[in-house]
Amino acid sequence: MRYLEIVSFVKDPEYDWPGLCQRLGQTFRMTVQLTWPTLDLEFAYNPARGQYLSTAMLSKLLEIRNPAATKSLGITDLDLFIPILTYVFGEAQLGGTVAVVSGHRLRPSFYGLPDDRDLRQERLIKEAVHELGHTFGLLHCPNQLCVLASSTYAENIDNKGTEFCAHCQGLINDALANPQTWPRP
Amino acid sequence: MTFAILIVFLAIALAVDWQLERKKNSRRVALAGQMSVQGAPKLVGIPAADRAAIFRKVLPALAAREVYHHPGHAWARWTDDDLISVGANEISGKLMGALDLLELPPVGAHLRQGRPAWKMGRKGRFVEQLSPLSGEVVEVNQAALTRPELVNDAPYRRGWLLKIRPSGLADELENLFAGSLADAWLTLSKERINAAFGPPDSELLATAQDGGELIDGIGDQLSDAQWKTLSRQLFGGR
Repeated sequence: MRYLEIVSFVKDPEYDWPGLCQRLGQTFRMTVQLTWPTLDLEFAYNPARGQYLSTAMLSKLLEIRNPAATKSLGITDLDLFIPILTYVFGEAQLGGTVAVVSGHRLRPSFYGLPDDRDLRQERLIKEAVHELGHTFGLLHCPNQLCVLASSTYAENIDNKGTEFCAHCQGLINDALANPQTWPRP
Repeated sequence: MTFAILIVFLAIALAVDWQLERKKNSRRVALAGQMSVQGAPKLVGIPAADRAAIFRKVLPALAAREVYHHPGHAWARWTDDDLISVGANEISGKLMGALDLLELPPVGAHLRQGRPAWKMGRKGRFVEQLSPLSGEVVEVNQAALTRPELVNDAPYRRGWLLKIRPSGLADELENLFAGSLADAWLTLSKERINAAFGPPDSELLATAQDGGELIDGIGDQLSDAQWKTLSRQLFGGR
């Protein structure tokens, strides 16, 4: 049985975890299991940047993930980066098994705005779907309404939809229908 | 009798007006149909001289706001009648960081599209950037020569490098990107820069990210070999 493992590094009661699980389960047609491992993420901290290297977190996910899971999505509230970018909302193993998303810059309060739980939840769902889409081998989509469109700023996330465009949905459907093309867990 | 003549005259006038309007609309539809995804028209089947006239008279107003990118990461934009400003795009600026060397051709020099036009450098690494269009240099941005960091800080505004009087614009514009195609191409260029750092982990192989802007002076983080490969991929030339 294929299933999606959500590895949460944050016990934030403000997130609607059941809602997130339901949404991801519907989108990728998998059962979803949520886990809260106890793990110190300081190994990924870069003092020069004052941020956490998302690629290091992906490597750690590969180590700790349940090998029976089809895909594993890490969720954190830490500020993530990669060397060439000022920050990232998330990163994924392209055509692989692991992805990570951060809620750090998805909160309106990060930008000095009043917090909005619904908006933050919607942004989290979009970025989770986006990064998991990469794990199916999909690249960024030029259709700005597609959830796989690239987002530089949080406003870009708000402008795109929560769904794949018809083209990307077709690719996801093909991938889901052909599990033999997936990487071995 | 007079009333009947008046009715016939009115009917003829309306018919002529309807025909003229129809012709005008069909011309608009034809021109719209020739617009390419880049935003630049593809004037297929129109003689070169006519195409040049259309570009000179019609398009500057239409495309004045648009930045056109050359595959070698230089850009071009209309400034006023028959003049075009050119410069290094955001990818060039971010990769190089604050320049410590900028060499521009003098006024009167002739540039050719796809041939080296100016030289940019930082910390002993140089790029000879290819000209986005052919034409004669009519103005050099002295502010950029005095403060080369403008190329990175404001690549499409104060960091412009040259103003040129274009030649062969009608044909050459089709080699440039604008609009959504340019956005997609810039995103791909960023992914190419990220890939230059090699696989982050032997098990991860390739990754994709969402969010953030390129940091300044990304090239500083590359080894000489990585820099050589990437600069050839991005800027072409030797």
